[in-house]
Amino acid sequence: MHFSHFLMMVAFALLVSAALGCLAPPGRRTSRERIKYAVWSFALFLGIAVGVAWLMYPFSR
Amino acid sequence: MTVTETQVNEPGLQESPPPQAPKRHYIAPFVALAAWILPGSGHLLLGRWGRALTFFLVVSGLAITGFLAKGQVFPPHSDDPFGTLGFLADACSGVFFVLAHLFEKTGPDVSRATGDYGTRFVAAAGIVNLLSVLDAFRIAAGSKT
Repeated sequence: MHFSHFLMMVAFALLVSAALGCLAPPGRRTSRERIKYAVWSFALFLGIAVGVAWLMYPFSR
Repeated sequence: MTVTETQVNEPGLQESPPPQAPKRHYIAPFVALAAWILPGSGHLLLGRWGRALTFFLVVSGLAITGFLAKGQVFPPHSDDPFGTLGFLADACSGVFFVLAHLFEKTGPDVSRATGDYGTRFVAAAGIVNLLSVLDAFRIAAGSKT
């Protein structure tokens, strides 16, 4: 089965962020805070990955 | 002789605080073992339905995606230290490590990038399950709510 690299990155970020939401720091006890933490983690995963990809772009050829 | 309300309100005769919930420290290792074997089952035993379902879906999603991408599942005995670390990470995914051969009947294919990503997915499934085991253990031991 073939997956695109971007799709795999999104799937990885989504799944790991959901787990991180459950393992949120002790200060975040309510469901709303945990969901917010998971969404923030997901956004950081994607944002940092795309940012690093652009930083590496000049060295790709 | 009965204790009157006046006597109860006196400083020396105040009612003892309500009994706390019984400690469940003794079940913590069993909860951790269950959580390792079947991801999410540790939280399920503790009545944490949401976390149990989330951890099961996350670990199974990572592991099955890794298997479908033909990621490598490391064997127990490896000459390479990284292979040993890979085995430890993979083995933490519990039942999915045992069932890996059902999904990967033709074996891994890490000659393409997709297979290499699959290897990371399988390892990540084990690491996430390890975190869930520790979380379930801490809840069962009473050190986390």
